[in-house]
Amino acid sequence: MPLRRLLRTRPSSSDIDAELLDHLARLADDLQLQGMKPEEARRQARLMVGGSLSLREQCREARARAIVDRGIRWARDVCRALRRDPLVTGVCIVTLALGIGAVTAMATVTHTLLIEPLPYPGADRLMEVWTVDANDGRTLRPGVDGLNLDALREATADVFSDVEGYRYGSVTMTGLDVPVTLSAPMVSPGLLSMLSVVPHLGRLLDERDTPETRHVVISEALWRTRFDSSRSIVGRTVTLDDESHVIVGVLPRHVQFPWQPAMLWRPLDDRAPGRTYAVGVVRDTLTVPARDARLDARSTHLQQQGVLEAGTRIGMQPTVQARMGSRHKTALLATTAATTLVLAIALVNVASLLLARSAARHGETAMRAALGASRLTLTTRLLGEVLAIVGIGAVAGAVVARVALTVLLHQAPDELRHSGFIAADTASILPWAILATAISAIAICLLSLVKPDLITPREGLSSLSSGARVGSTTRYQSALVVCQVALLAIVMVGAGLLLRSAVRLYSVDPGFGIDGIHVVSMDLPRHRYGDGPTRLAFMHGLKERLAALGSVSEVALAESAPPSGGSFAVEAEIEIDGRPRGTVRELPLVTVTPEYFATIGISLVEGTTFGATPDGPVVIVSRAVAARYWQGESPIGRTFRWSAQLPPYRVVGVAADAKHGGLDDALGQGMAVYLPFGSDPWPFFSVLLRSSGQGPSDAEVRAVLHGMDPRLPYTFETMRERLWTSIERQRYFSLIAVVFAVTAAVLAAVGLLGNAIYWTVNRQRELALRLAVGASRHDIERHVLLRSLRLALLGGALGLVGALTVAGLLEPLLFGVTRHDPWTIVGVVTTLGALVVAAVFVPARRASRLDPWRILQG
Amino acid sequence: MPEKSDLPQGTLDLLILRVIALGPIHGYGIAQRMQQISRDVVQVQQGSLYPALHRLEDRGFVASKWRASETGRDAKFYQLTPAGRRQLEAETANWTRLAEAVGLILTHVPEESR
Repeated sequence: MPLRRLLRTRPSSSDIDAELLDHLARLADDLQLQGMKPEEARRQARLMVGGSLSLREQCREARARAIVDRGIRWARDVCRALRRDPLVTGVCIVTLALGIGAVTAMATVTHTLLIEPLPYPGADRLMEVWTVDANDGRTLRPGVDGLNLDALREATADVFSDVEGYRYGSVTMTGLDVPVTLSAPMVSPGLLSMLSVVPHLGRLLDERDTPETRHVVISEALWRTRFDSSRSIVGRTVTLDDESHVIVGVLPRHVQFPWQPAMLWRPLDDRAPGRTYAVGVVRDTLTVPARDARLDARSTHLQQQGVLEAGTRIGMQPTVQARMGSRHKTALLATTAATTLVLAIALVNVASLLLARSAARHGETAMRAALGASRLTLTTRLLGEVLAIVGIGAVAGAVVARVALTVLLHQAPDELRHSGFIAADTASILPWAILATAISAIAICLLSLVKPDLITPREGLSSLSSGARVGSTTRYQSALVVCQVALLAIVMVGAGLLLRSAVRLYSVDPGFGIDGIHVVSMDLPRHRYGDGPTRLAFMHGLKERLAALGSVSEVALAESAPPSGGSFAVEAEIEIDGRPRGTVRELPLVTVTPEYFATIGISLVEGTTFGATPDGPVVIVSRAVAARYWQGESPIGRTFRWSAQLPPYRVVGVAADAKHGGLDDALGQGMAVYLPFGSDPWPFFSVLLRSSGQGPSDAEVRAVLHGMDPRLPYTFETMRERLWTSIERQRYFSLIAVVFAVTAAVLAAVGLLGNAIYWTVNRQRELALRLAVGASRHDIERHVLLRSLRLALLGGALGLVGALTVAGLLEPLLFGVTRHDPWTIVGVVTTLGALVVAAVFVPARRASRLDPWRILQG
Repeated sequence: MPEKSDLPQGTLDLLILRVIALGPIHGYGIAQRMQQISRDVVQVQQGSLYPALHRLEDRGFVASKWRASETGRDAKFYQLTPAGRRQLEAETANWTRLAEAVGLILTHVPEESR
């Protein structure tokens, strides 16, 4: 009835008018009968009725007021219901806030990284142009050799509406308090405008700007942190690589292209030697096959002109930021899935709490129903409660999501932060929060309102008089608890496996020393350290000065320090003693000075380290290389070659295996080739220090460097710090998973607790009777605990079966454990058991303290 | 013309329901009937009658329908719904009880004055 009333069309004003006219006519008729003249009667009638306009308004108002009254009454009812059990209401809201918050934050991150990594209009059509292998589409090199940007743009005009380019680079900014190295891409003049960037201040780089004009634009972050957000920044001069440059603009915060954190953009001269990365905007009318067909036609044409090498073609791939995100696809999807499970647990919690509450109010509801409140009235009231709770929970959830997002961003490994993470802001949270809320509202309504027996007056009243409650609600609620525990088990297995992997990874023996090893790393500015001899002189000078520090016992130079890889030969074509022995996908190449092995603690199992002045091309191989290619024979004096472009190298030593490329040893599988530090080193290098005790302090190192070149930025870390950083990704995702698992556990514990309380209250008489006939308090406690444990056991078993089925998806993220890892399963089962006991202990205790006589008499 | 009396708050609705309970009737008829039965004591103004009718209809106590009346002209007829009938019973009982109580108080003669 109320629904029909709400839906009933309001009477139109013409309806009201007609009714009043009718009234008027009847009155006039009566007056006429009493002897008035018709005209006089009508006039009199109009006078008596008064203004029909105001009457019409009054009629409408009477209805409007009724509707408003009803709305207020409904809202009051809902508020009263919510306030009556503040604990239940509070728990529901907190539960929802956690569930909605977790899933919203994670979905926002995943969406930003995987689907919309680039916050530019038309970013999905932004592609890097590469030369690719014509057979397998493998990317070979960026751009097309022999075509500068203008030529490339012209050659591919029917595929790309525009092609621009950039190069990697960094600059040292001096003149402020400390010298800093800034990530500073060189970009072709049209790149930023191709992205439709609108500058925050000043202007973008354009055709007027060449490397000679020394005009730069800076990032919002740099402007904020180094220039105090000064409005007069445009036109200011800064010293970059010892030359003064003029800032012509500040880019908005979200612009971080081509990588993050780009701090400063410089004009690119793409005719200067170096590797230019080309980025194009694919014409939006093109289908993928049409696009590929045109690229093929262009490639053939270019090959005929002799520009493009045979066996290659022009290809494309998503931009580096778009690729970064997809590298973490599995981890991101898995954590998002985990948060959905957390939300599911939260929803079940809220539904079962509301169920318990409506069952507790069974009598009241039945009474209302008997007094004539329609089923719909009661349902709308319940619905109102659900919607109010979901509404408040959603708002709180959005706040939780915002905070969680900030934490997620803050803790994220650089690798992730470098890929457009910054685009995740409050606005991007909203759609996910709304979606999660809608799903929550629907799920809770379905779970908690589809219990028809809650509002049948007859049964309700009879149960009110007999004191018994409805058993089916208890069973339904217990089923919900089983679901919760099952979901929890899945989340816990996932988190457990990730955590175990991270721990296993961190406890891997890297094959080199950790304690007492420090690493100083730096990147020499090209303009001051342009040639090999200058660089080498500086490096050796630094090495000697650091060796002179009191606590330092050994010092070595290396192109890069473990565990972060360094360089490696790709598709290395191995030739042993002149005979080809197949290709190795990635062969780590470690370039070091002779003291390296003693410094870092890698023992030489055979042969010696390099001599001070190597005699011809020599190499030290790892034991894995020796075992693979010489099978037990000594490789000393034999030759090893990995590229047709390079001479054969004579093996002078065999080093113990060490994990240079990272603890997971994804590179090389223990293989490594050590090369002597040459006379023309790269401008980047590390100094490794072995020391006893505390080792050198940062201040000592700074003093040494300051004495040599005060304008050099550097990093100084312990080897342990480097190892810790190297497993950043694994730590990050396992930390997220563990946080979500703990959240899920807390939520499920609340569910278990609520269920146990509800059950014991309903079974009071039965429990009292047991006590009365001689059960001990201990028996009762055990009875209650065992019941919850049985539910948890069932849920846990279901969950484990589910987890083992879906854990396969996690396999790419696991290290040193299988998805059937027994310890994880044992851990999950133990934790679940402890959780149940902890959650149910209080209600069990309370149940055992019942006073049987009072209850049985009452 | 006899003296008119103001109706106590909320009584109009009850009276309207009561009149409608006698059978389907249009607005003008309700006013006439009320005046007639109360021997001209209760004279309900259009300004109160029609808003009240709309309110009652909105609450679901009465239903309305346009149809031909005794004069042949179409009129909007009101009829009691089951909810209206229940409401009328409850309100009547309430009113009777209250009226009795009021009467008791007003006619009460203290012991000592007897």
